[in-house]
This record gives sequence, C-alpha cells and structure tokens, in this order.
Amino acid sequence: MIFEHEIPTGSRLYFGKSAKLKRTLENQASENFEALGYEEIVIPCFSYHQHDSFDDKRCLVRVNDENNHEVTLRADITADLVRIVTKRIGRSVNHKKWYYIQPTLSFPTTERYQIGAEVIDGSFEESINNAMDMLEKFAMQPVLQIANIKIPKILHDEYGIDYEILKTMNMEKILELDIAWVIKLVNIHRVEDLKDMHDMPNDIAYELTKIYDASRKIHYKNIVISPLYYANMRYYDSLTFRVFETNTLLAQGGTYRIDDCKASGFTIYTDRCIESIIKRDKGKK
Amino acid sequence: MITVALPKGRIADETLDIFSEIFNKKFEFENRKLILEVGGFKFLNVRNQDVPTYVEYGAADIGVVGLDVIVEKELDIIQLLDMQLGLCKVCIGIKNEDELDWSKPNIKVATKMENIAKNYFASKAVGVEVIKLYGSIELAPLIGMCDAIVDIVETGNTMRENGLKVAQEIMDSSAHLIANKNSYYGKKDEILSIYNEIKRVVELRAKS
Repeated sequence: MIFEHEIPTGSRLYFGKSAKLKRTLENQASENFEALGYEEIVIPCFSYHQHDSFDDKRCLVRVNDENNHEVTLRADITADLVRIVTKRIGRSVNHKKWYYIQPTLSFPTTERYQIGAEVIDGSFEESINNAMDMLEKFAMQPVLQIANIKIPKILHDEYGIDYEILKTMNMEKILELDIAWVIKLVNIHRVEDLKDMHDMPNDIAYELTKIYDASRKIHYKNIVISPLYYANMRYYDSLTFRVFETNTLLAQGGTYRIDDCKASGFTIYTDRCIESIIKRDKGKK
Repeated sequence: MITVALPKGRIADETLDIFSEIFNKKFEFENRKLILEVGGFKFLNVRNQDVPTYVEYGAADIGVVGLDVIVEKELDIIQLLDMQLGLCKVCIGIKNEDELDWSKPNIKVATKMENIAKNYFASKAVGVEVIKLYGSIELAPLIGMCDAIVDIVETGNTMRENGLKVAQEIMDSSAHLIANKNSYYGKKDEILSIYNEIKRVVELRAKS
C-alpha cells in the first residue's frame, strides 16, 4: 500500500530553506559560468545513445519511443550533451564552453540535481579550477583527488593486472603482487610524491608526469593523488578528478573522448552540496 | 584520529591484541562500552554484519570483518589485508542420509547469506529458492523446510551434532582489514601506515 503522502525512494523534495539554498547555489553557479564565458544548454530527459557510456547499464530507466526504439532516461549528462553540441547544433553553433543545471534520473527512482560544464577541446586544469572556484564560492573546503585512468588501463594491458581488481580497488590483491614499483604507486598520496619517478616503468612515469604537470597548474591546495583510481564512466580517457568531504562525493570530472571529440568537464552534485551546507550551518549554531 | 569498526567478540579481542603488540600499550574495551579511544584511534564495537556498513557510510575509516560478510554485502569498500583471524569456510550442509541432487530443477536452501547462496547456485546453473533465516540455520533441513543450508563452518561440530554433513565448500573466509574509499584516499598515509604494522604482526604470527 502506498500512502498518499509518500514519494518514491531516491526522489528529491526541497522546500523552504533547502529550496532557497538550491536556488541560491544554482544562481551563483549560473552567474559564475556566464562570467567565465560559458553558455547554458538544456538537454532532453530522454536519450537514445547514452547507454554506450555505462559499464553497468542497470542504473538506466528504460522506456520506448513511438517506433518501439529503446529510450533511456538521462542518467548522465556528459555524453548526450557532447553529442548534441557536436552533431546536432554543431552546424550552426561554434561555441565550445557549455554549462547545464539539470537533474539526472536513474533506476529505480533516483533523482540527482547537477550543476556542470563541458568544454570541447577544453583542458583538465580549466575544468578543475572552474569546479573548485565554484565550490569555494559555496564556502566549501573539500579534498580534491586527482587520478589518471590511463594508469589502471596500462596496468591491465601491459602488466596483466586483472581489471576487476583495479575497478573494485582491491588493494589486498594489488599489494599481494609484491612488485616494488606497484607498491610505490599505491603509496603516492601528495603532489610532492610525484617528483621522484626514476624507478617507475616509462609508460607509468609518463602518465604520472601528466598528473604532476596538471597539479601544478591548479590553484586549489588540498590535493591528494590516487594513481590507481578507476573512474567508471567509459568515456574518460586520461586525467580525472573527484571532490569529496568526509564520505560525501561533491563533484567529479575529467578529460574524455566521445565520438572523436576531445573534451573536458565536471559535475557538481547539488543535492550533496545542499546537505553538506545545511549540516555545516547547523553545526555552527 | 582513525576510527576502527570491530565485530563484537573474539575477532575484536584478537584485533585489539594486535594493536597492543604494535603500540606496546593496552587496547581493551571496558565492560560493555561500545567506544574505546586510545593512542589516536577510536574503536567502535559493532555487530559483525554491520562492520562494512559503518565503513561504507564513513562512520569508521577502517574495519575488520569476515570475507564472507564482504562478499555477501557487495559493498563499495576497499579491501586491504587478510588478517588470518577467524578462519572458516562457507559450506553447503545437508542431512547425513541425503546427497545433494544437482539434477533437481530447484533446490531449496536456508541461509543467512542470500547473495553468496544465489550466486553459487547460479554459477552451477542450478535453480535455487533461498529462504532467509537469521539463526539456528541447521534446524531448517531437519524439519523439512529446505533441501540444504549454506552456512559458516569452523570446526563442523554444530553441523555434526545436528545430524548434518558438509556437501560442498563454497569459499574460505577469514577476517579482513577494510577501508572506506574516501578515508583511504584522504588519509592514505595514516591508513597504509597502520596497514603495514598490522601486516608485519600478522606475518610474524604466521611464521611462529
């Protein structure tokens, strides 16, 4: 039995203070994006192609169009936004910096409001700096974690380490390999740890250098490095980042390739920012 | 400060004993207290099955819990070290006079470990109806409620005393050190430091 006051688990309800905070954050973000030269885009809730981007497609809510083609509800914004910008409106619009303020919907009934940006031919550092500026404007001081998905891919392709171990971050199995440079890789934590890479294989050292170079161009200071972190969206192809505060993931992004289009972007999870700010303000009282 | 979730009972005592050896001071829960703070660590004394939940939700940075619980719960945590404590097996148990009939279209299994049971029988392409129980699993086949049970076996005494036998071993289990993902990334130096100390003691004990 469903009571008349019930709403589906995972759906979002904001009212009063939280709704006002949501609007404030979205307005601040919008003003900030406009000042940085971004243009807003609102993409459809329904998608034909986004399922290609997901390793685990169970999170997709499926419906059908009028010709019985499978359609999924928008569970991720990046892939469809890039396709729409490059394939659908690309003939009439040359703009490369886009921002969105839209929710995603995933199985069974989860809504996530998001503030995000995608920059065609954009740089990783620009995405991180824009994301962190935004979070600092929300008066948040989270941990910024930087990774490079090429590293777990090389560990699998060139050194035979099982993908499942890397995807699930089974450190027990990784440390059991007892390979000196892999253990050193596990222990890398701060940007300074990337200065000495003489005992790393060349292919790994090359990818670590990308993290090091990018980190030096980032204004934000509270950075941790996680060379083995595996970002689970298929389109990421190089540097990625996550932003978290205790157990809450506030934002993530990275550089990626979708249909030969190279781009960079990020997503801020509005619901989690609201929750975190309300909790912090409550603590102050 | 690193917060550690421990499963109430023997594993908690043995883990605290390892900490005592590492830091050369006493680590022990007082009477019925659920929180112990000592030497820059906060220990939480929680139910075995709840340890990975405390860790996944970030209430604890690290925890110690059986591999069977990790596999059963399928949680998003980081597995760090086999501590070689609480060694046991997850087994299929049946009545002494029975044989496990793989040709049956559907096997009825009583267990606390629904996911492990479902996944195991699925891997054998055998249909299974899982009956979730919370304790005294051995009773279920004796009264005809199921064909078999899936349960933890340490010595095998409980099964034997109830007229059951092990039909098949599913997996080995022992207590593992686990970490919350964000704690691991954010406090990697501290977590890997305690990991290395625990590993040293575990290896020393295995040799002696």
